[in-house]
Amino acid sequence: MKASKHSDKNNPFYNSNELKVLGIGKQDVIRYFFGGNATLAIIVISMIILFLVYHSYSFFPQYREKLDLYRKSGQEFTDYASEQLTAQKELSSLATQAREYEIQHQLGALYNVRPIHAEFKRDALKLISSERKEYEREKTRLNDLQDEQDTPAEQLDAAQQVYDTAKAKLQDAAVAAVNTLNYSTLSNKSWKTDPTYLEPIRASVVESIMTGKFSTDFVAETKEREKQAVALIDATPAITNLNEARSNFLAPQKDFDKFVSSLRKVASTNKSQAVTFTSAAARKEALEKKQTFAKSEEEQEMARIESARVLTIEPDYTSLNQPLYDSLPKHKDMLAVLSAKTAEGFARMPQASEFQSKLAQRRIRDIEQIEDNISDLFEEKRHQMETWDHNKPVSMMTAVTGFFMGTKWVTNSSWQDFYGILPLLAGSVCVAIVAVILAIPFAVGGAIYVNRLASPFEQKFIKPVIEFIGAIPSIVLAFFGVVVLGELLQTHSQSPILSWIPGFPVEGRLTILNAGILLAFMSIPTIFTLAEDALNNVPKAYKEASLALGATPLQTVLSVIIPSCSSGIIAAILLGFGRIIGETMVVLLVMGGRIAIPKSFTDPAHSMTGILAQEIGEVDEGSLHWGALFMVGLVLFVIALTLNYVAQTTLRKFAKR
Amino acid sequence: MSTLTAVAPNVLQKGTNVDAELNSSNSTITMETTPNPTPANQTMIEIDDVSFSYDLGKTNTLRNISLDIPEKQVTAFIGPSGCGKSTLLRCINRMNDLVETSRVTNGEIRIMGQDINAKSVSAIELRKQVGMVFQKYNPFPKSIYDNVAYGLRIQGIKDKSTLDESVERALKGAALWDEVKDRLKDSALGLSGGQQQRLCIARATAVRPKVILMDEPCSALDPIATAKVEELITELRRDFTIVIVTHSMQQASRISNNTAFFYLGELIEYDDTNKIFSNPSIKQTEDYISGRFG
Repeated sequence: MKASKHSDKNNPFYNSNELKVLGIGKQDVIRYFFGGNATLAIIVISMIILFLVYHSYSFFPQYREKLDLYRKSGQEFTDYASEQLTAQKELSSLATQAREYEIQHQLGALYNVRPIHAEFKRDALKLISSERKEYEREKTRLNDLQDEQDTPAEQLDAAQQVYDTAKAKLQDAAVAAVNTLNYSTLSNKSWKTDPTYLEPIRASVVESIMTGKFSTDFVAETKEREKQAVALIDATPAITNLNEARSNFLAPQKDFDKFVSSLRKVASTNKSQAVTFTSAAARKEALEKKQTFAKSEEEQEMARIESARVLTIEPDYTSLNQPLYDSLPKHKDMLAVLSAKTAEGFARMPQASEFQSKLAQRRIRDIEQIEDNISDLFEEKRHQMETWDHNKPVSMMTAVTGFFMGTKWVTNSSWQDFYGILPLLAGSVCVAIVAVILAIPFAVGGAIYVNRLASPFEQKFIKPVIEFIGAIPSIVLAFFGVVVLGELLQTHSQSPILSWIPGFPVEGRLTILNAGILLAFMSIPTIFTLAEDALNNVPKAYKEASLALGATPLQTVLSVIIPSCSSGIIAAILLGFGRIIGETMVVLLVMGGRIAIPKSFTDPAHSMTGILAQEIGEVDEGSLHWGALFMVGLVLFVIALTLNYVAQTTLRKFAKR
Repeated sequence: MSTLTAVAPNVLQKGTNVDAELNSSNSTITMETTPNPTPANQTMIEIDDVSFSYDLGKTNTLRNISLDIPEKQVTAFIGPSGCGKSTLLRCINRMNDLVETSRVTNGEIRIMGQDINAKSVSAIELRKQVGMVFQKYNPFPKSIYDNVAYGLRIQGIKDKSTLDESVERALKGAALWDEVKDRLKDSALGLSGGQQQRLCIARATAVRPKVILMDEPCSALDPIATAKVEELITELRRDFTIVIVTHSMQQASRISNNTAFFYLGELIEYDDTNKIFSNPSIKQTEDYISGRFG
């Protein structure tokens, strides 16, 4: 080996300025720092995926076991019968609601006189609390004096006088307070009001305060008038028919309910036996495992004895379920009665057009919709009951479809838990679609305007304002939705001008529409910024060429600029969609939290993100519910990933061109 | 002229034969440089004492320029970079309106006798009559057909047969029809550079404007494509008034009837092309043409 002429540091090219610690220089440190950050991001993402998969992978086998137990114990059988009843009960409940809405509508302002009275009284009492206290005090003192035998007359007179002034003061205060109250101060803006009732209500409130009694003549009279009016409404053909239909719907319910309860009792007993067995079996298995892994002989012996003491006798499911099999003929009879009465009820049902109230009409149409498929449902469930076999094993596929296609998300139930993602997925997707549809015109239109048509001053002003929306905390927007927007939508959707919109009038304050509007607002900065970038990337030459051909600026934008950056705009919309579907606070607080597949965009619903935020803090780690929540998280993650991937590919396609 | 029109189809038939193309374009040059008496045409564009500023009149980019551009001839603007020839060209169809602070500070530009900067004149309508072809070919990211039909469509023409006819005529006029007739629905961005520039010319001619302005149309093209575009220009002057800005003096001498020489925002000399290139009356012009500066 040839020795180098120079030592390590003694070469002509050595950089003596560079400080090296353990052979690592400043440049290297910076390089490793940035490289490390990039690597860390990738590691974190992979760890998140791993973490989600780790916590959710055992969900399907566990869920399969639970469903197996559900079948073995006969709960499945019971639920088939119970579902028939639930579907039928929906009819009577809808009929009741329809009648209530119709009466509310036809009574108009009269319907709300008593609630307004109550609210006015509550508000007035708040305003005159000090006067009332004084009055009460004087009243007690006077009463005490009167009770005492030997009170001198002058003292009594003086007390009487003080009492009278306090009473007069109270009266004045009550009148003054009541006069400050108005229909516009009512908490429920959708209440119908009539100015002719205002003065009587005020007078009655004063009277009620002074006498201390709740009911005044006015209240009693109103009650009577209401009663008469309701009787009149009930006598109209539509409501008469509706009431008859309803009683037909109601008639068979009691017996059927009893029948279902008897089945449920059997299934519950079966279930508790089955659960005892499975937990004992699990314990035995654990002890046996302990036996094989025990360190000392003594420990091994202990575990052996203990495991021997655990009794595991598998319940005889065949005999346990025998009562269920035996109930089939009875069920057939009961179902026949149920179907017959239901059909009779349908025959009585009035047309939706006979009702004046929009909400009542909607209920009637819902009943008509149920009419179309209830017999199929009855038949399907009956068939399922007849072919039911408690011994038929539950396949893994059933667990998987039970999760992905399941329409029920029921947790902490004493009967049976279900983890079907469909209602949550539907809620999330619905609200995202509503939000995107609402956001596109504003965000894309805004981007086009700012980028192509606005003056430099407008550009300078509009862009930061829109981008600022992104800085608003979502919880603040959610508050706004709960307090202001919900009420606004509910009140204004009553207006007849808007009644052509499907789903209007909006019934609740917390709906998909409400959340959708807020989410649209939140996604505007995302879509706007990305769409504006896309527009910025359009070569200037296109604009010049188009203008030189005599196109107007608007024609240029519409037929050249937008088509040539459409993929960029689509990517912006997709990323906005991803932003919305991952949003939690607004959907949790504003969407109403009803776990059911929404029928229209004015229904309340729940979301995947919302359910995670709501339930993850309360479940036991490693439980089935825990696994289900992580599965939901995984689905959410996959959706976000897919959206991002699709958006990026469209963008890349755009960049290539 | 007559010999030229006889040559042009010849070139097209030869197609991809590069040598033949070069030969024929050479022959075009020889023909063009032979004395070519131009008929006394009517004036199309009158530029009358025009000064122009990009910064609200603080400094004038163009100063007191006057020249008359005759109808159905090719007029070339030459001069060194920054002399204002492109600016003047963009004044003619008011493309300078895109620059907020630009103003014509003095004089008038009249096309067919109408002052184009008058209040009642719409820039949109003006540009329908005064088309433009740019330095860098800029077809839209649409199909070949849609590119040519664009100008017609924005004018509200929807009838399919009218569009088909106009597109075919424009593409034939741009000597592009035979090359693209089987792929009209393909993206225009798939064409070669020269084809794209001819497509842009077809797009400009499809709306049948009176004037076509060309801003260095060949500067981004290779010699063969340049030759084809030049041929096309000499063809087009039968139907259109053409104003072309060029850096290549050979090109100006080959294709134009009149040449204007600009220097530092002023018009130095404007005359018949043959006169400018053989016997310029001003020394500056002679210096520039003979390559002593610029």
